[in-house]
Amino acid sequence: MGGIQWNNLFDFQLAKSSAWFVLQGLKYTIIITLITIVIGLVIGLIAALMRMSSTKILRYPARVYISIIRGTPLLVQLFILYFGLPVIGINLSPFLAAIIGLSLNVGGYSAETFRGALLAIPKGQWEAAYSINMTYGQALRRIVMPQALRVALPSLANTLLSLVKDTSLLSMITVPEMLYQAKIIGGREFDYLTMYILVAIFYWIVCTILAWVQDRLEDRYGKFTK
Amino acid sequence: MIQVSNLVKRFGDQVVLQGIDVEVKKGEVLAIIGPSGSGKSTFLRCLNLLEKPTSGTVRINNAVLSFQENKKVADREVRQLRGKTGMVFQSFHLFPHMTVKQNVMEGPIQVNGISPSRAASQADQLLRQVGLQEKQDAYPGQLSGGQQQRVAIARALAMEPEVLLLDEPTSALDPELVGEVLATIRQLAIGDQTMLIVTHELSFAREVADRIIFIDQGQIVEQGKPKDIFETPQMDRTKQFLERFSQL
Repeated sequence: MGGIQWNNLFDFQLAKSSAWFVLQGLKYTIIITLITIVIGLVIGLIAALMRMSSTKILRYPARVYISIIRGTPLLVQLFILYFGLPVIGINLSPFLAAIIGLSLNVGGYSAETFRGALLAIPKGQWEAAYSINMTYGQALRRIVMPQALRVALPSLANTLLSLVKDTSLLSMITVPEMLYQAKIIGGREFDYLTMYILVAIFYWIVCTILAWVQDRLEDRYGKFTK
Repeated sequence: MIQVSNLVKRFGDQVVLQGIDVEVKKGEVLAIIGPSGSGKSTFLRCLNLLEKPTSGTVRINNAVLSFQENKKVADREVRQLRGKTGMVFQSFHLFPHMTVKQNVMEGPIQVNGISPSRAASQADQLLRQVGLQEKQDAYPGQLSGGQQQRVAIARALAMEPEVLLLDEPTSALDPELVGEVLATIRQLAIGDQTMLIVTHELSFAREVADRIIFIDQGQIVEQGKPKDIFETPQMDRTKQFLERFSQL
């Protein structure tokens, strides 16, 4: 019973000397986040439109997809892709498994965001677009989507922040992102606490920057409602 | 120019229009009056196919479309007919993310493929016509209801419709803003624009329309010149309706 050893809380020397090694992982975090958010939002938009379609053949697959993604843990999804699929002969690299897993995950969640945002746009906007003889595609692209995106922006920004943090799960499928790098040093120096706090700080900085960008975007694109 | 025959619209079991026949000549201004829920707005929306008729035929100039129950019509045909119409809605439905001028230019550029510079000069002219040229860079949210409705009229006119459909264009406006919108519509009537107006403004209908149609319970009860309808209505239902209004 030695009590809490506060002097072991954070080893500045170790943090300083290993910061660069951990930051090597940041490039994976950034690259994977960027690729995944783009693919994921495209999947999400398509899934949302399918989910809202009046055709069953489009609607049901989208519902099943969204339900599976939202109803199962991301870590399990990643394990199935990376450790599970080799059983049936599909071998994905950690990087590819990460891109596929996270994209599908972002797609499932953002689909509901897009659906909610599209439903929030009054029916009259569709009718006005049709009344000047637009096609469904034109009405969606020119009239409804620009307004829906403004509605969806806060929620999509949350999705992005979650995604950035979820990349830490990729350490479990051996992607050398920040947490993976930190664990290497933590194990070698027998000081996980310092390394985990260091990783937490890096994530916090990245997410704070993104939240700041989100505020600027909301200021800018919320304008027409005034 | 417009010929509607045996137009029926059902929502489930409810019959909203039970066989409407109407002909409209070029340049004619038709006012459609009737109690709430009589089907007059549905009738208007069936003409540009925002509502798909259950059965019947709609012809506007060379575009004809017949409807039968459980039979789909091709998008291409819908758009061919719709392209001959313009619509002004009760609650304006301007595009809030675009400026006034962009609202007017959007259709001509995106749908008709007109060059932005030509669309811009056309929009200038239309906004001058509705008296809102100085508001061209404002967003709809910065305008009064009356101004928004005048922009909506300009937006519809920019597509050079053969017939303009107005669905209770002043019903959502504060009383003191009704006048400016009616003045704009009056001007169009003088300018030979073919129009179908669903309205509760009976005195305006009387003044501006060439013909009045009184609809009740999905049927045309009576139609004729404004003077005849208002002074010597033939049907009891029409008399009742007009009396109730004159009491207000």
